[in-house]
Amino acid sequence: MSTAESTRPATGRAGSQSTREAARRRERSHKTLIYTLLSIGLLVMLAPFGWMALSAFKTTEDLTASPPVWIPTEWTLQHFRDLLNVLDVPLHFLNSTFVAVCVTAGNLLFCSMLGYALAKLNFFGKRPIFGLVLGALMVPMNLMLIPKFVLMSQFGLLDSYAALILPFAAGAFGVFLMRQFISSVPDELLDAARVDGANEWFIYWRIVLPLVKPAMATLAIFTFMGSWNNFLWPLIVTNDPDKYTLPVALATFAIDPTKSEGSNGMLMAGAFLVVLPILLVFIVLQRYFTQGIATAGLK
Amino acid sequence: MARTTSVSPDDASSGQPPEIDDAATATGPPRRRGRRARLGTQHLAGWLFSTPFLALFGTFMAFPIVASLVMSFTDFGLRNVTDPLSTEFVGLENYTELFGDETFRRALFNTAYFVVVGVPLTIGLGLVAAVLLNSSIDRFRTFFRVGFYTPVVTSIVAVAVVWRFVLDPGDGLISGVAAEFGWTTPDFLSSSTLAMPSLIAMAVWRNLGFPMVLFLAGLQSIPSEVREASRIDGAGAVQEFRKITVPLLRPTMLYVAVITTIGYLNVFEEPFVMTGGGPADSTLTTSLYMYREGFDFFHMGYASAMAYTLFVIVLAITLLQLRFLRDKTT
Amino acid sequence: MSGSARTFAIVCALPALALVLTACGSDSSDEVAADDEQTLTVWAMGEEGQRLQEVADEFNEEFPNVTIDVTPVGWDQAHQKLVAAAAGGELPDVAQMGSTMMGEFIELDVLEPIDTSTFSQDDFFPAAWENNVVDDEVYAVPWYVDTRVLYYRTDLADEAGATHPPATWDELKELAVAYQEQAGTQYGISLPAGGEGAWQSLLPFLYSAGGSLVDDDGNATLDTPEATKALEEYASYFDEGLSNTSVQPGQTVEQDFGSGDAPMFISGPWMVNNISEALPELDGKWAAVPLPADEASVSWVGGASLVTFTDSQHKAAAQEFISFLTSPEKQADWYEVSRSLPANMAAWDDPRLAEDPQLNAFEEQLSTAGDVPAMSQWNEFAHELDVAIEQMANGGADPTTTASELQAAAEPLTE
Repeated sequence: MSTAESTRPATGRAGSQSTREAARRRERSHKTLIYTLLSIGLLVMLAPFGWMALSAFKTTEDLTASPPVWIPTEWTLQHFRDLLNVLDVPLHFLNSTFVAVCVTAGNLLFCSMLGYALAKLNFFGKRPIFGLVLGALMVPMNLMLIPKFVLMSQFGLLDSYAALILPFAAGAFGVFLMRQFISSVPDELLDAARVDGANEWFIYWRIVLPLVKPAMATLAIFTFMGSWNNFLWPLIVTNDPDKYTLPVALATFAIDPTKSEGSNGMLMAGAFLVVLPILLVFIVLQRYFTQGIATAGLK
Repeated sequence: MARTTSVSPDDASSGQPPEIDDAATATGPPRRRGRRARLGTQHLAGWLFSTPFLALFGTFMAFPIVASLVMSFTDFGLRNVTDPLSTEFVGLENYTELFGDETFRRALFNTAYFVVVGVPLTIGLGLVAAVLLNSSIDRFRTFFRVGFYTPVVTSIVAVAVVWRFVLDPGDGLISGVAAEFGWTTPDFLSSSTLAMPSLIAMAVWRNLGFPMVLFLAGLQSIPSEVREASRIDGAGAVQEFRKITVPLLRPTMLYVAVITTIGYLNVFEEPFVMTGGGPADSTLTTSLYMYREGFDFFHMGYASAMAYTLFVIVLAITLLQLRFLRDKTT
Repeated sequence: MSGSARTFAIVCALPALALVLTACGSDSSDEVAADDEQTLTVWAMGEEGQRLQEVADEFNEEFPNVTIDVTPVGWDQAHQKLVAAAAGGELPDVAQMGSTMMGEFIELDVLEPIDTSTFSQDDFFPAAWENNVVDDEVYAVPWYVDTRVLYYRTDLADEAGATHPPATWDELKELAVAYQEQAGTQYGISLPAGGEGAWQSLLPFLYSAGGSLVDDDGNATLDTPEATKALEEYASYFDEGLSNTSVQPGQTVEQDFGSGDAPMFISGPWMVNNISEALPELDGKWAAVPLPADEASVSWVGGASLVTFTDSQHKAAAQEFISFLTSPEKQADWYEVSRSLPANMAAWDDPRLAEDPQLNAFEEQLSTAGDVPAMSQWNEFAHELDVAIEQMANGGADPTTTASELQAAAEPLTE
């Protein structure tokens, strides 16, 4: 390990009792420092989320108070009740979930496949394909809205789940991500399998994918979030309120230029509901960042 | 042999000996030629693995991309939405007009400012957060991770409300704290010099969870044996970070740098909700200007020309990054 | 391993399969008569979108053969959704259209002109009707209206020594100064110093000074003496420190109104509800009054109209539905439900409106108000106004120079 060898040799390797204790003490103060840093960071990072969550339970008076009130003087579920009254929240929730799960599944599969090909296979056309993927990342997609809509209407896919899922089922973002992570899987493993007669699908499915679980988890988090928060496109391709995803349904009434800050309560309650599932997905998937799977294959 | 022409873009150097060292393992696919040559190329498998993505991409993305490219050479306006056949080709007129457009130059400058300051800060802080969260703590780890990630998922509406409160010159958080010490604070968002730095601070805060997650995932590809070895050798935390973590995170770093740069070059939401591009266009970014021209004023041809000019700039920067970040590893 | 090979095959086939699932809609252009069995698709924005279905059910009692299908659309996205729908030929049968969107959609050539023998100009507030007319063709029926009036804090006005609401520009300025000097408020009045929509507060000054945005031929008139005077008056509030020069998008005026930091502002009828909901403690301490006059007290009319589209196959039923919504009784009902002010003047005789004292200021203002001309490039035109305001309020630009620059920028937009 060339990089490790170049580090300075340790001074107190002869390790007496006292030096070991000193080291432990140093480590403890080290930890306190890290916890302090992280806690300060956390406070700064959490503030708006906290604001949003607290605001969802505030009364209208608290919401418009000046200077702003952080902790509600009186907790209320009114905004959530209002929300449930005007919207079929469970339906829109299901729509969003279905779309997000399909999009995530599509990305995990299609992007890792192409990512594997780009990282580990040698084939004619690989370079242009990678160029295409990179290029697609850079095109400002917002501008494609109208041509994309016309295309969908030509396909007769308006107001369908297909219109919400298919254009996002394989993103360039995911291909690039998977390619980068799969690149770091040692070739020896794959070559050994090939020598043993494994086909490429087997190598991809049984060897590569298990090794890049942290990357898959990352991609899942990002695509789930992207799909869940996707707004402009679902808004434009769906007219049937039964097909509305949660953010689209919320926007039909929440954003009204003639409404006061007071209506922020429902807005915040809605935003809070929208964010919760993403955080849940994050909490579930983040454990893959700690398992140290990559080391398992390195022998 | 075909393989010599079908290498990945960052595999420019050829003729490397088939030796494999650990540092290179983490740097991506280059220098693998020796072994692969023995096992031959995989044209069929390569294409089979590419087909699903390419089919979806070709169906849903290719047409819109080509359509808007064509649009950039036309005078496509509001009326052409329902009557596209009456659109007229104007050649490079949109592009030449762009270069004389002072507002566009202003927007490009603002975007560059945003990227040059914002990207290193975002990546740097994201990396620090990831390293601290990855190994040094054992308690509340999930809690901290979720906490640092919440800005990425929190609705921009809520983010805007809170940041306006933070920056408010009257009864805002910063002015309130400063007042305790007897200091006065400027009106951040109304000052054409301070508005952009304020937006950058907000963007860094909002986005650093993104590189953090990627780095957390990337840190897993560093074998723990390597870390232990360096620790036994007595390397301190800083040394370990510099000599082990950073080099081995290079593929992740490359990815994060490219994606963050692309994202920041297209920055839209922060100025859109906080300043609307003002004061006096000091926070007008290319994307915001494009949105205004394209969707508010419906100069689709002009906006498309802007989009492809931006595209070329992004492409150039990305290629530079790919080259620059790879070269450092050799 | 044959299992994984099969998975592979399925995975490859998926996208192809998706394409086969497509089916094209039929495109017959047969008109359907009003008494035939049919479904009418209606797009409505914001609150209206939430509440319209109930009214549609009432319509159903009269026309059991027509099913009304309401799609609620958020205001912020209505524009994009409608433009995309126009591009794809997927417009609904009936839509609500904001007053500032009319010009664009007339230009898009997708609106069906209305039948002027069914809908009479004399029934509606003149500005609301004018807003929908281009080249003598009428494209929409006014549904509800709004107009800007002056809101002010009466309790603080007492402290400032004012005995009556400001009726002229001079009195408005005096009151603003008195608020600051005698009642100790931070600002005298809240006026937008730029940013999107700042024109909405400038327009009352322009119209009250006798100016206009465009002349009868549709050419910009922004450097006339009247326009210059309006700009000067507007800018003076910033020059004299009576208004906040800071532009903060998304900021609402209620907070400063409630705290007394800015005890006056100019806004529309929705603020009546917003203030009583958000600031109940202000009850009895504020009033909405007609705009202070220069040459006259002239506000402008916003609101929404109802349109139908040339592609619709249900124009006859659409007309029935629009007639239903714009009839005086239904307009008064609708006011009760949504607090939107009726565009049909006869509805104002209904006791539910006539007996509400808070509405007097609005009714008075509506009868004289000017319109927002239907211009295909309205957004750009409005943007130029916003920029001009910002340059004066923040950049200290001279109103006369601003007026001529504004005129130069606006002329190509109104050709």
